[in-house]
Amino acid sequence: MGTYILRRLLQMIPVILGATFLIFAMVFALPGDPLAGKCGERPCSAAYRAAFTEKYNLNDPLLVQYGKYVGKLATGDFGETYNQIKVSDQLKQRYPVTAKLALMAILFETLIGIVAGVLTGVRRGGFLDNLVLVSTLVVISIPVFVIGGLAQYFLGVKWGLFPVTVTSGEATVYQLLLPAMVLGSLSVAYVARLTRTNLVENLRSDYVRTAISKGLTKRRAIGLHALRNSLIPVVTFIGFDFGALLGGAIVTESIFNIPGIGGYIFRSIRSRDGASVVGAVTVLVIVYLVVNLIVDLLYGLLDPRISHD
Amino acid sequence: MTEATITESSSVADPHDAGDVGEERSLASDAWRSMRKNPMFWISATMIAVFVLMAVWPSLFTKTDPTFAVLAESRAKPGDGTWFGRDIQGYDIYARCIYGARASILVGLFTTTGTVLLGGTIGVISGYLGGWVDALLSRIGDVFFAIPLLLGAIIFLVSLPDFFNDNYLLIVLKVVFALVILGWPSLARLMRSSVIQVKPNDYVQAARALGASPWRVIRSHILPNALAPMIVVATINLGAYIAVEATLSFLGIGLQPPAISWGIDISSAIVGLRTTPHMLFFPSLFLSLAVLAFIMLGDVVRDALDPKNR
Amino acid sequence: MTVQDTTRTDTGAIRYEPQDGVLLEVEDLYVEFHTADGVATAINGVSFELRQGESLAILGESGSGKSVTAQAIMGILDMPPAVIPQGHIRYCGHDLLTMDEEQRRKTRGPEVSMIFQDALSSLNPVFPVGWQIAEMFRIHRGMNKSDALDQAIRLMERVQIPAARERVKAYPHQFSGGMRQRIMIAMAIALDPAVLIADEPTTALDVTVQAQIMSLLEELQEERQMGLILITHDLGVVADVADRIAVMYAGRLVEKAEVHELYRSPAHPYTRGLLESIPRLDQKGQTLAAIGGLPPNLMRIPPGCPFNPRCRMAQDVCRRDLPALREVAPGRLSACHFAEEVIDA
Repeated sequence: MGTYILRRLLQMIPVILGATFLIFAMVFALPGDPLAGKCGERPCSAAYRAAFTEKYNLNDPLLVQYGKYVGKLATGDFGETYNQIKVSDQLKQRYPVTAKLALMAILFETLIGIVAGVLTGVRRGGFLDNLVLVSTLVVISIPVFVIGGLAQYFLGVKWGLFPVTVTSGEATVYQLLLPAMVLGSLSVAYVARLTRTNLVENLRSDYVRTAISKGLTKRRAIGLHALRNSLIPVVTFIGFDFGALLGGAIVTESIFNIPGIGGYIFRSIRSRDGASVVGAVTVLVIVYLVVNLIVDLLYGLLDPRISHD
Repeated sequence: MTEATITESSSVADPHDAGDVGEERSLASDAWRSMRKNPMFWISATMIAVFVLMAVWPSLFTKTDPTFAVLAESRAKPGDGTWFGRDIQGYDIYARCIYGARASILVGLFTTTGTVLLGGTIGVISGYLGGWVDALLSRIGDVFFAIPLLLGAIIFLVSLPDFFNDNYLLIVLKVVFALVILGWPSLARLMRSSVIQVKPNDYVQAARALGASPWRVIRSHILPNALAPMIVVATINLGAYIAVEATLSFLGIGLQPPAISWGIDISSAIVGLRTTPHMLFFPSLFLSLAVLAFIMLGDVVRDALDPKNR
Repeated sequence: MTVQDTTRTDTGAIRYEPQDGVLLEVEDLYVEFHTADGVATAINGVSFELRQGESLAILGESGSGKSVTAQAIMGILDMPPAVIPQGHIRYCGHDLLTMDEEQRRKTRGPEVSMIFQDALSSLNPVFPVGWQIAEMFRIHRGMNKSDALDQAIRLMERVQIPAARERVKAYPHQFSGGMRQRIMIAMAIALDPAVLIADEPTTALDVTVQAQIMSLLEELQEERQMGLILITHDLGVVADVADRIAVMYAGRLVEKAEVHELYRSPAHPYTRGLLESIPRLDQKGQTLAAIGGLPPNLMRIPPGCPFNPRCRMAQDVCRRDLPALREVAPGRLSACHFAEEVIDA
């Protein structure tokens, strides 16, 4: 187990380097003047331009620039934004908000998705089953930004059930409730369908037949024996879905005006603030890969047939 | 019927007497047989056909020019001389919904084709050759897989040179390019694992032992048996890519006005949700139906291909 | 041993006592499968009884209805598509088919128990084997975790699993096929049931392991005086274990006899065909006679005797009239118009 984790962590290093280099190359190497708009309406002075170029190694070949950047990154220095604000401070301020949002979304999709999947899987073909099947299809089909807009207007503005936007820098759980549900809505539908499909398949398995012939109650045969097996792929899905959730946070955070990492990345991309983008995305990629590693380990715990030796 | 309930019942349902031996059916025709009986298949296929027709030949559905503004009638409600009303610029919303199909369908089809070709090829090479080639390709796939699709696409699109933005088709291709570059690894992984599953089978080994070339083995023995999972996922992805295109346009990053896209129209309508909900409703409806059609088709194909569901 | 000492009275209000030595009585049982393609009659009026301490083998090809019979007794048929339009299955005089579901559930395990063909898929892959055996004691006896696990270890020792104490926490996939089937058996006999149904218990195993499992079953059956129903397609397997054999074909019983008599002189052409298709060392050089043709499609059973298209002795009467199961010699039943001639042949 220990060697497995070590091996996986070592394997992660080239992936992180590759992914960040990709982002770095896209953000820094492509045309567009990084100084545009830095000095207001006027063009920047030659002296400022030279200092700027020097500071960000803009004259070096791309690989060298990247090498220098990674070198600094390794010491925890994420660089500065073009407005001389430390990127790491920005990240420290914004990541907790997005983390809170993402965790709430995952909690929401896991709880509601699994419950809906179990209820429909057990009573196949019933009213509830059809209702959930249709409504999950609808949720999957309607893009998040439409759902977000509608939810904000109806649940927030019109009926006043939830706060409409996040007003302070410190987003509270209550303020994030609606955004988290919007963010998790697509995944809720997928989790429900995945749980249902797997449960239906497992209900026909030999070991559930054995459980029934052992004289277990239906409740135990389904709720313990079949469900335990059905949840293995669901856990994997939730882990892999984490990346999509982080991407979706960009949309959700912009709709609900949440001061999280998604909105930050989005604004930084638009203003070509390279250091901010690369820094934020690097952290995001690392988080994503670590989550995937955890999911893999969890998978081994849930399914004893998978061996990590 | 639930065939897996008991081993006995499966042989019960099987036509067993000598006269029925000829009924042995291939997986593909079997799948087609069960799909034909499924109303969901016909509903989704019809919807897709309509959307494709809309994309190819929009003037078949409307004679109105979607870029012809009647500012005086801006924000007109549905029925005031137009079917779906007019938007803030005074454009006919119905016409814009029809013309908006093109961007979505093009992005969806091209991206799916691209990811299938790129991901499929890399997956087959990985799975068939194994060894260091597999290790290298898999790590490269991991790199792209580690970047969330939407995030990567945004960075990519913002970074690409602006001269792309001159021509409608070029912008579409730009979006497609970004999505293919970021989207292929999932299909490559899928294909790789199918190939690895199929490869040890006796018929593949026999073909190799008989001296068939790798290309021939892959084409006539591995592909037909490893393709099914990829078709299913690709169909569902097609719907997802349409949604991503709309999201990018919504964020102002994919297609830009004056190009017509459901995403752009939704983006401009969402602020006026309170007073002019129809401006949001119709493009959202079209977009959702297009996504729904492909997801439904994917579901139907999966059910048809999965023998456990029969 | 505590395992055997536990009385069978704490399972519910009903106290099950064999009636005149009869444990299980199946009477005129029908099972149909209602599918999209039509109705298949899997069991077509089957009757038999099982006495205390008796081993009954039910023999037949796949599709003959032998496994469906076992599943109907156990109450694990999927209904729908399965339907039981008529018949009775009485356990100690109580009809299992009309019993309320909670009562019936309580009979599964302590009264009637079953082991399956494929132990790998029949054991839950994500729970340790000891836990799965212990579950019987926890559910039916209300035992606490550690006591139940002690019992599980004892049972694993009883079915001769080496190093039971160390392996009690291992998972099914970590055992060999034969060991897994022993675990299935341990689970099935955990609560000392009166009836044990073994559905092709050795089909998935190597020949040498087959013999070990069969002798274990025989031993346990004698030790606990269980009624054993052995479902199999393999005549060779049953010879040593079974007292009586019931042969099924196309959902019907076609012959029933004491095992040695059946071997010595079968009373149905189908049984004779089965016996002739067993390779025998003492008849080296002779051609093995396989039964030609295939069993009928259960949605289109031919008129008359269902075996007639494959029968070498078939006459007009066989294609016209369904032969009844009748006593053709003392203690011997056969459903063949020419049973007497078959016996004498």
